[in-house]
Formats: sequence, C-alpha cells, structure tokens
Amino acid sequence: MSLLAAAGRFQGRLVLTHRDYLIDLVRTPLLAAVFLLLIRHNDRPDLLANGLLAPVLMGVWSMAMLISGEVVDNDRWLGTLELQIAAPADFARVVLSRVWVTTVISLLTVLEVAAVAVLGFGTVPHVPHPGVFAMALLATAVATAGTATLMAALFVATRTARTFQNSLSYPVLLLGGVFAPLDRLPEWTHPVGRLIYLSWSSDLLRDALTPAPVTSVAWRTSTILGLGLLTGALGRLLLGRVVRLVRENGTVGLR
Amino acid sequence: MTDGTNGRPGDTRPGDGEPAVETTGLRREYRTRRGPAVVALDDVSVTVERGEVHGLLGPNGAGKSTLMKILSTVLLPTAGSGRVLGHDLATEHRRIRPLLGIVFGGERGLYPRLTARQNMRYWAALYGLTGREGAVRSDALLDELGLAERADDRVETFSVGMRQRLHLARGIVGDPRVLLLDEPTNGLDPLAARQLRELIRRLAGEGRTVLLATHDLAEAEALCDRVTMINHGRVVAAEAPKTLARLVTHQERVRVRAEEPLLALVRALPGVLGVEPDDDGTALVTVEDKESVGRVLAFVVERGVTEVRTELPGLEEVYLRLVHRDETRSVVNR
Repeated sequence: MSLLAAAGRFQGRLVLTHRDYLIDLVRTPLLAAVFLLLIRHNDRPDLLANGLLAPVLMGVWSMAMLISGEVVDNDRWLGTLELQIAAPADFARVVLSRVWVTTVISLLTVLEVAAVAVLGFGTVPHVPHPGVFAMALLATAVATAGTATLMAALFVATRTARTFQNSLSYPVLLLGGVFAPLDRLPEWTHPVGRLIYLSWSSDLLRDALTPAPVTSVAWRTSTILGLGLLTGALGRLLLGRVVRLVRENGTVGLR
Repeated sequence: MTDGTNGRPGDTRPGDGEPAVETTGLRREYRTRRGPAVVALDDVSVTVERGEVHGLLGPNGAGKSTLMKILSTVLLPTAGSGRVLGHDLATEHRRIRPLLGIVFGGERGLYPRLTARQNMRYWAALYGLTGREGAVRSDALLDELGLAERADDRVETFSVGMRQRLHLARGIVGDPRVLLLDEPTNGLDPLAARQLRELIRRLAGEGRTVLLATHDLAEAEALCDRVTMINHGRVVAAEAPKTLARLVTHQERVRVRAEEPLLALVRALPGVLGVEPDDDGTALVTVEDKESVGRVLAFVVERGVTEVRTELPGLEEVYLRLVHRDETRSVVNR
C-alpha cells in the first residue's frame, strides 16, 4: 500500500509540475463547447447526453494514454527508467499506480464539462441516475488505467509507440461509442466494438443521463470492470515480459 | 550513513562466505540491424571481495558501463555468469536489487522538476521503505550530504555538484550493501569531485562494498583497494594499484631534485638505465636492481641532494602501458 500511495503521490506532483500533462484539461472544455454549440445550432436537445459525455470520455482516454507513454518515455529520457527497473519495487505496480492517479485526475473533466454547460450554455445537466453514473464513471476509470498499463508496456518495448498510440486513439474512441452509440455504427463493427470497454462505458453513462430506467446495471458495470481488469492483467504480464526482453536486448535506457 | 534500523552493510545472510561481486566468463553482445554483433564484454571474470573499494578502469567504450548495467540487473549477459552477494544475476535479480545502490554520473537519473526531497521519497518507496521511514531516511541523507537547506528546491536549479550528491543520496536510500558507482565525479569541478570522493570513502568505511567505474586514474588510485582494467571489453589486469605497477616494470626508480651536470654523473653510474629530467626540476632515474638504487641514493646524498625518493610507476603510466600492450596484441592477432 505504501508503494501505491507513494507512486501515486509522486505522479500527482509530476502532473502538476509538467503543465503539458494537463493539456487535456484545457482541451476538454473547448471540445465540450464545440459539441454543445452544434447541438444548440441544430436544435437537437436529444443529443445532449452525447455532447456532454464525448468530451469527458475523450479527455479521460487521452490523458491516460498520454501519461502511460510519458511514464515510460520521459523516464527513459531522464535515465530514471533503468533505475526504476533496477529497484526492488515491482515495476508494473509502479506504472499502474502512476497511471491510476492520472486517470483519477482526468475525471476533473466531468466538472469542467458541467461548468461549460451551465456557464456557457445555461444548461444544467440533469443526472436522473446519479448512483449508476458514479459507478459507471469509476468503472471506466479503472478500465482506462488497465488499458493505459497495456500501452505503457508497448512504450517500454518500442520507442515508436507514440505513433501507434496516436493512430489507435480515434478508431478506439469511434468503436467505443464515444461520439455515437455503437449500435449506430455498421453491424460488422459491433463484435470488435464490444471488446472495447468504452462501448459499455459510454452506453451505461448515456443511459444514466436519460430518464428511462437503466437495465442490467450490475452486468454492464461488471463487463466494464472485467474488460479493464483483463487488459490491466494483460498489461502487467506484458510489462514483465517486455522488461525481460529489453534487459536481453540492452534497450532499457536507449533514448 | 546507515540509520541503524536494518543494519544491512554488516549483517550476516545466506551466501555470506561468497564475494560481494563475482563474474565468470561474462560476455555481452549487442545485435545490430546490419553487420556482425558488437561485443561489449568478452570473457570478463571479476571478483570483488566484501568491504572492498574496487575500481573499474578503462577508456571510453571499454565496457565498464556495460558491466555495471549487468551487475545492476538492467542488462542480461549473453554468456557467462555473475553473482552478487551469492545471488545469481540472471535468475535471482529480485533478491539482488534490494542489496544494491546504483549511482550514475551526469545529468540523468533524477526528476529535475521535482524537489530533492520529493525525489528522495519516491526512491525510498521504490526501495521498500514505508512513508514514515522514507521521510526520516531521506531527510537524514539530505542533511548528511549537505543538501538539507535546498531540500525543497527543484533539482533543475541545482549545480552539477549538488546533483551528484543527490544521486549518491538516492543511491544509498535503500541502505545498500553493494554500491555501484558509474563515473560519479564526471563533470564535477575538482573541489566537488574531492568532496564526493570523501563521501565515497565514508560509505566504504561503513563496510559497504563499492564498485567504482571511472577513467580518472587519480581517483582510482586514491580510493580503490584493487582495480580491474578493461579494454575492448576484456580484462587487461586486476590487482592492487601498487601491485599493478610491478606488472609493467621490474625496474626500480629514484626521483631526485637535481640538475645537470650532476645528472650526467648519475647517468654514468653502473646499473643506471636512464635519467629523465621533468619540468618540475626533478629527474626520474631508472635503475636495474635494488643494489643500484642504494648506489644512486648514496651518490646523490653525498653531493648535497636533499630531496630524493624511490617510487613506483603511477596508475596512469601502468594504465597507458597495459592498454597500449593490449592494443598491440589485438593488432598482432588480427
């Protein structure tokens, strides 16, 4: 617990001192303004839940992915990656703690988007199912941290992971139903989309923002958590393998 | 600099009869995309006894850092084996890591935008200290290394010397039994380098084993009980600095403060092989045996010379000769 707390505290400080890590907290209100403006301009209040959720999920995803790369890339650059791998602490646990804290910080986007809606558009977001909303958000954060751990493994393995990550983000957001529900996309995308935790998260969060009763909450939340934990476990396993591989190749400290 | 809570440097554990560091036939190759693999280490066997300050000497690219990385468990050998305090480097790295302190020279290895205290507490946690233990240990080390007043300043505002002291503090936060120092005085001004050497001496005085990679011969001579010289990834020699001197010459040497024409008379004495005047007003007289040493000493003292001493070749000379000998051998073998 001490390591988790210390690594988390450390990452929190690092995020606050590297203001560029907070770029998504700057971008999210702007994105929210764009989405809400489009909804108002086209007079589509039925899309409000989409317009509120999309910038939040984009912010949470983007910040976690940025930091998962930075945890490795920046440390490699600073020469601290080698030292962390040589330290007694389990490197995967350190990465997971650092990514988790960042994901928690990224949840500030919820408040930002709400503030834009209220202050910029005079719209007070109504949350008919606050308990479901909170649980879905927490499950989404856990799943995002798990996925970010998998991405961190990729960054340890290769120094060109950033390109891959950048190319991956928009397809994942699209198939994750962040911009529009997955069932609005062609049917052939559904099997792949349902493997992405975001498709379950966005559906559940959207349902929590609409007055109709939310069905299968436990199952859907478990699926988000299950997919996230599975990805996290895979990330942890892969990190161990990749660290072993870079120790063999001699590429731990290469910049 | 131990806090007395875990007493690591002197305690007894399994494998206590074994050397602190022992490598046998260590080889490390780096694969390249095109062309043959680059051999960074070739058949390196090194033994460092417990409590010893051992120097790893060699020119840039000799393989010192590669060996350090293997010992610090961030790099696996291609062949051969190694043990640290009785634990195998390839299979028991989890047991080795808590016993090691690693300090690299230069700018790398710290988080520049965080304060010294924040850096230290993070590394303390990575070495298994609880929050409270980490805070106490970090503060104590920052104080001992003269960084207490700047503990809450960002590391990016530190001078090179202060950073290097912080590197050392970070390296010993886990109270290691073996300290790996890779060019720790690199880039330091002479005063800061001297202060750091004093600190290393103090750490060694606490019973820690220190393996010091350096290309600073004076540093190795001043700090090390034994040195291993490496060139082109191979061990050229491994001895105490004074013993190494005997490896390159069996001739005796006398340094005298004298000028011509006295030096011409010395040159003519039986058993004198050569007289080389230096810029500092002294001359190095090389003689073939101890008997000749006595003859030279008596001769110059009789003629009023008061500054006279026998000496062995310095580490620098030994180093140059051994490396040169190794280079020549490599060329012949090719």
